[in-house]
Amino acid sequence: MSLVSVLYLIFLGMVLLVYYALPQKARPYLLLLSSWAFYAINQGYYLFVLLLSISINYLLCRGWAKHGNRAWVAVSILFNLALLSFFKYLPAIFGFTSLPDGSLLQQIAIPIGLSFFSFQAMGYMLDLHWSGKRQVASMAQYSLFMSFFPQLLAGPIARGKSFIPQVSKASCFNYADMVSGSRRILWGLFKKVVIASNLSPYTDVVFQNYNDHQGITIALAAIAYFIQIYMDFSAYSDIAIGSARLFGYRLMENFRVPLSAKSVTDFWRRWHISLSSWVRDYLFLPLQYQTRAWGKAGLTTATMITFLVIGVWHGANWTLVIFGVLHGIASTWESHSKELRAKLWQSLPKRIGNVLSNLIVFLFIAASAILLRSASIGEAIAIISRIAGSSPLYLGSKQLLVFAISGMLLVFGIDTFKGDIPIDEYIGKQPKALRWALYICLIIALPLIGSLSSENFIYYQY
Amino acid sequence: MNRQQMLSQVEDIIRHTLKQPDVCIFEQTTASDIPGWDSLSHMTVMVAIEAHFNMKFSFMEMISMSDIGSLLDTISSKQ
Amino acid sequence: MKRFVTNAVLLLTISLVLDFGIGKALEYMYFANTSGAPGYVLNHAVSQPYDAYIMGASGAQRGYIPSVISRELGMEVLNTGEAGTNIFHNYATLKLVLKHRTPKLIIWDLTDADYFYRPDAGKTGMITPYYHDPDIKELLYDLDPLNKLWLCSKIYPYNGKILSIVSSYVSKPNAQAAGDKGYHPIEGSINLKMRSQYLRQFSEEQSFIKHRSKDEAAKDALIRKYFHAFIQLCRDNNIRLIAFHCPKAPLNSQIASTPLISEELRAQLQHYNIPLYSIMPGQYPEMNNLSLFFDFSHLNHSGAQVFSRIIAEHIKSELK
Repeated sequence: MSLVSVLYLIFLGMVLLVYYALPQKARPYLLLLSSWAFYAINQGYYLFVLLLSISINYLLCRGWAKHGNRAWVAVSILFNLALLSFFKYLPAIFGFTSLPDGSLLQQIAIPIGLSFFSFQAMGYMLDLHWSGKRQVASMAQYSLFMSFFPQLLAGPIARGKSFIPQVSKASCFNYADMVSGSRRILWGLFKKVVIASNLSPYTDVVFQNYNDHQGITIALAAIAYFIQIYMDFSAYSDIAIGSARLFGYRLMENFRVPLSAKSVTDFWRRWHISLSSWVRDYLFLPLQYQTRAWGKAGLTTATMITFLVIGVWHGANWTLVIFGVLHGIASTWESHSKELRAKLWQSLPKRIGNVLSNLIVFLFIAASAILLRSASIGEAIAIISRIAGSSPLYLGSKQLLVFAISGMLLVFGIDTFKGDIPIDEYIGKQPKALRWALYICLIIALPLIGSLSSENFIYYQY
Repeated sequence: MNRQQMLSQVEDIIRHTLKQPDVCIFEQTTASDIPGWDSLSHMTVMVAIEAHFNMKFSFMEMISMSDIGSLLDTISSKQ
Repeated sequence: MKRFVTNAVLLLTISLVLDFGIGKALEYMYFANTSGAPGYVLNHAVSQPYDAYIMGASGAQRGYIPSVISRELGMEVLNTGEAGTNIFHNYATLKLVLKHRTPKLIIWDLTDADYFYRPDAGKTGMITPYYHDPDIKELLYDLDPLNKLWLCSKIYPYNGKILSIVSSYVSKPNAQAAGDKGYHPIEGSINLKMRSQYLRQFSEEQSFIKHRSKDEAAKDALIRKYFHAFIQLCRDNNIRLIAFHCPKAPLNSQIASTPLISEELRAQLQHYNIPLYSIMPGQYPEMNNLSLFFDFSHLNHSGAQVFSRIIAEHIKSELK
C-alpha cells in the first residue's frame, strides 16, 4: 500500500474516524494497532522483525536506565547494526542476490522501513545516554514512536525527544491541524502524480537503453532523474507529515527548498533533513569531538566517514559508496576553501554569484544522482562517459514532459516565493480566494494530467 | 573573572575563529544567530575556547549547550 | 469538526462540478476525432464498417498493411493495432464493433503477452473513454476494481490526453493521420550495435512466462478470461479468426527458427481450431533479411510489404 494510493487514503480516513471517536486515552493504542496492521499489510511476516526490534531495543533502554552502564548503549548499537547487516548488507556482500532463482536467501528482501526505524532506535538510545536522565518512555509510547504508520516505511526519521512527549499530550480535534495536514497531503499527491510519475517513463527509457543515447539526452535525463527523486521523496514526506498532522502529531521537516542550496554542505542541510541531521548529531559531532585535536585533518576524517555512512545507508552497492565519497570530498573542499570561495563570490555581482553557486550545486547533485540510478560502477561510468558524445535529442512522450514541466513551474515558482517555511504555512498566509483556487487546481490536475498508475516511491528501497 | 569578562573573551574567540569581526553576543545568543556558526565550525569554536580557558569539555557538555549563557555556565563550573 | 467537514464537502462539490464540465468538454472533443489516428482508432472502427479487422499491438500497427491484404482478398480491411495494448484492447474493440456490424474476419497478431500478463503490454487508456458502454464498463471494473471510484471523475477517462485531444480538435487531423487504414509505416533499419541488448531481450521474453509470481498468476487468470471471451465472441458471431505472429529480427539462426508463441498458447489455439501461422524467417527465406526490420521486434515499411503479402496468401488459402 503506497502512500499515493486510494487504499492508503481509505485506510487513513478510517483510522482517523475511529481515532477521534475514541476517548483520548485509547487513541495512542489505536494508532499502534493500526500501524502494525499497516506494516503487516505491506510487509507480511516482516512485522515480526519490527516487533523484535521494538522489544529488544526497549529492553536495552530499560537496562540502561536501571544500570546506567555504557555497555547497554554499545549492545543496542551493535544489535541495530547487526539487524541492518543481516537484512540489508550481508546478502549483497556475499552475493546472495545474484544466486540462481528459487533460493531461499534470495527471498530475503529488505523489510521496508528497516533503515528508518533502526536509526530511530539508535538515536533514542544515544539521546538517553547523553541526556544522563534515566527516564525511559512507556512501552506503548516507545512502540508508537518506532512504528507510527505515516513515517514507518520511509521516514522522516523521528527523534524520541520530540515524538514521545506528543504521545501523552492530549490530542483534541484541531481545525488548524486538520487543514494543515490536508494541504500537505494534497501538495504531496500533486508532486508525486503530476511531476515524479510523469518524469519516470522518460528517465526509465533513457537509463535502461543508455547505449542508444549520448550527450544532451543523457545530461537531460540525469537532471530529470534528480528532479524526479526530489519530487518523489519530498512528496512522500509531505504525505507522511500531513497524515501525522491529521492526528495532531508534528513530524520533522524533511526538505527545505534544496534547489536553493548554494553549497553541497548547504544542500545536505535542506535535503532529507531527518537523515542528514541524524548523522550530524549521532555520528559527525561525536567523531568531530574525538578528532578535534587533529585540526583540519580531524574535520576531514569526520566529514568523510559521515558521508560514507550516508552513501551506504542508501544500500549495499559500490555506486553508493562512491556517491558518499564524492559528497564527502565536496563538503570537505567547501569547509577548507570557505575564505577563498567567499572572496571569489564577492568579486562577482551578488545575484550572479548566487545563481552561479546554485547552478554548480545543482549540476553536481544531478551528476551524482546517476550513481543512485546505476546498478554498478561500470554502468555509472558508461553512462557518464556518454555525456561527452552527441546524438539527437530524445524527449520521450512530449505530452508527459509538458505535464511534468507545468507541475514543476507551479512547485518551483511557489518554492521561490515561499522561501524556507513549510508549504502548508505558506498557503495559510494567502487570501482565501487564492487558497481555494490553488486547492481546486491541484485536485483537478490529478485526473487531468497526473500519471495515476500505482508506482512505488523510490525511497522505499532504502 | 566575572561573567562579563568571560562573555567578552568568548566574544573575541568567536569573532576570531569565525572571522566575523562585527559579531556581538549576549547570554541568549544561540549558534544559529551567528553567521558562519554551523555544525562544521562548532568544534573549531569549542577547541579555541578549551585552549583559551585551559579546560576540556565532555561531549555531553558540548552538545547540551543551548546558548551562550549555558556555555558560560559550563566554563565557570570548570574553573 | 463541523467547520472542517463543511469546507471539505464544499471543496469536493466545487471540484466535482468542474470535473464534470471539463470532462464533458473533453468527451465532446475526443469523440469528434474519427480520423483513426493512433489513440483514436476505436472512434474510427465504430464509425465506419469494414469486412475485416487486423487486431494486435504495435506489431500489428507496424507490420500489417490493409491495402495489400485488401487487394488479395477483395474486402475492406482496417488495422486496429495500438502500441502497448493486449487482448483487453482487442476484446473491447470487437465488442464495440459488434454493436454496429459483424465482420467476416479477424486477422489476429498474437503474442505471448495476450496470454501471460506483461505490465508493458497492458495499456487500457484507449478503452476508458468508452466506459459508458456497459460491456466496456464491466471490463474496466474487472481490470481494476478501483476504476469504480476513478470513473466517478468525468476527466479520468481522458487522463493524460488533454493536449492531444485539444490540439487534434483545434487543428483537424490531416488525411495522413490514420496512416494506411491504421497501418503506420516506419522507415530505417535495425541498429546492429544493440545486438547484445536485443539478444538479452530475446532470452528475457523467452523466459518471462516460465516463472510466474502469485501476483502475475492472478493477472494471467484475468488476461486468459478475456482471451477465451474474445475467441468465444468470434465463434458466437461466426467470425473467422486467423492468428499470426510477427517475426523477430533474425539476428542468429536460433531466433530465426524459434516459434515465438509458447506451447501452452499454441495448444489453446489448437483446442479452438484457430489456424496459427508463425512467420519465422527460418522457414520464410524472403523474411530472412535484417534490412526488413526497424528494430528487434518491428518491421520497417519494406518488411511490412513482404510480410503482408505472405499473410495475405495464407488468409486466402484459409478462406477458400
